[in-house]
Amino acid sequence: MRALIVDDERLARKELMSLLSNHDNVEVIGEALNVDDAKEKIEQQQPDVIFLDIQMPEKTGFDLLEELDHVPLVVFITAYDEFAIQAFQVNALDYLLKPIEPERLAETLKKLEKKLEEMKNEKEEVESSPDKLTLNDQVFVKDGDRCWFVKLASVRLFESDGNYIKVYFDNNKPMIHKSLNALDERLDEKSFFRASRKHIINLSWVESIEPWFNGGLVVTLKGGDRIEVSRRQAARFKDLMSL
Amino acid sequence: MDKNKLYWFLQITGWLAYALVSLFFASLTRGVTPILIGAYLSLATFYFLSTHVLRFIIKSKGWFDFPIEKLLIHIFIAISVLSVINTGVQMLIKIIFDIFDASEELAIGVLLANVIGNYIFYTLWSMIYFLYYFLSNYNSTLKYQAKINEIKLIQLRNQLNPHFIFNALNSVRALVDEDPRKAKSAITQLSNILRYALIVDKHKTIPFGEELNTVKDYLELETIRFEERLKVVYEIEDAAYQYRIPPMMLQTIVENAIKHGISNLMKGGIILIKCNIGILEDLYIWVKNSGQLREKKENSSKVGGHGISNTIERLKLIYNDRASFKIFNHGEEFVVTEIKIPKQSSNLE
Repeated sequence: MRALIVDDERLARKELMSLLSNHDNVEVIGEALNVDDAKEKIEQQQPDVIFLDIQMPEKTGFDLLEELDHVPLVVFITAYDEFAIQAFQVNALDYLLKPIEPERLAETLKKLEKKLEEMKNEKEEVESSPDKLTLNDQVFVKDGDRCWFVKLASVRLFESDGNYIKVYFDNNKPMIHKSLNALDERLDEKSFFRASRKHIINLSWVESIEPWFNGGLVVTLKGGDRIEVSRRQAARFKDLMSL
Repeated sequence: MDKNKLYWFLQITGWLAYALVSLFFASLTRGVTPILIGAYLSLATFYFLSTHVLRFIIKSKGWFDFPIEKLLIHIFIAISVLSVINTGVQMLIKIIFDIFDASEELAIGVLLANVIGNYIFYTLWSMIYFLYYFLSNYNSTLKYQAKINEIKLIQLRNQLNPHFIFNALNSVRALVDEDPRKAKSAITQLSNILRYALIVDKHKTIPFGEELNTVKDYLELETIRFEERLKVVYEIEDAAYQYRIPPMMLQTIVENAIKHGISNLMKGGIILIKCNIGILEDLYIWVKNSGQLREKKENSSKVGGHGISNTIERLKLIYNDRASFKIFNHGEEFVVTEIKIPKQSSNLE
């Protein structure tokens, strides 16, 4: 697997490098000193996994994840920050504490390998344009003190709210700072549908469809959310859903 | 229910129940008469009053603080006296209600039985009273101890600054390969700091030099971690070493300078520690570091503000108003923290 190390301290990077050099299945493709540096390197080199220090000057590791469109697998690294670890509740692939225990790192790498294998299989099942976000991709969402990695397959609805988008999954609806138009362009149109100016729905969550006024439609999602599809989009929607 | 209410509730219902139960048994042989009711209610009232007086004595004379033998003897005497008085009162009640039969009541056997009967009731009362007191007291002592321990633990953890320690250890691990000699001295510095943090709370003030040595060890370790991003400059007047200062105070200020200043800056910055003696022979400690004080957000004020208010409070406790603490922005790139320590009075060891 191809890995990128993100840490502002040279010795910390060096230490992790030397620990990783004992493992043949990891290739460290680069090091980043801060969030901006990391963002550039991730977009250019598309690593499979990033080892990410949480506390860095000016922007934290969480900020980096929020700025990324396409989040690779992430292993958090921190010296001591119970809050950061607590905050990270759902789907954390793993985190490591400094100084890193070699055995603990080996376990983490095993997990990573397994996860990468799974993702490869899923990719083969669903072929799609490489730039778009598919159901198998995950996004990082932070709302106040809580953070999640969310698989797009479990997101049933995006709702625009001012300059933010509410992301509906499970019982949560945290906000991300993005415009719905920008998000719409990034999403795979086979899986996600722009229902109206305010909503993007996940097609695999659609439970029933009813006609509505003026030739519009109302879609009921699993879980009970009812979303109106504007007249303009209704025709496209019918096309998409019919044989 | 609070303790006082509970006492009154038990006291009233308890003795009322005593009256009713006695009345019930008496009525089996003699039937219920107004005289009987009046007599037993009067007796219960006397029990009620006499135990209340006993409680008053226990509380006002501080019997709870007695060692257990002394307490038992006191209770024994008190109960005995009450039992005898109670026997007398019983006779009085009978005379009042005109059911007193001198030939029967004054027989030695009957008198003794009465005293022993009363004795049993007073003993019961005392057992319940003291048992409740000791149980609830034991409970709250445990809670109090747990709270104290928790506070001490938090204090210790703050003093040890775990974020710093683990980062330092991580750097040292990398240093072992790169520069073993530096790694060795880093380990010594780290143990100096740990030892210092563990022993200092025993003293109100310590010699300035001791605190400064720890600060130097600390900053050298942080320099290993931040490398070229941290520059440290000392400007210490010789006279400063004759002063005593509160332990961990300068250390805390410098830690904050790193935490809120240097570690948030991509390019890093400098820390300048300057100590000189003022005209009135006060010691001025100046810590100037790169960074800016920002308007506190609601959630961050807890962390940042706590250290500062703690320092101000400590200075006030030790020196009254003769010491001072200031923190302010110095231009747009620096923050200055200034402490004024008055010339020593010798009793502050």
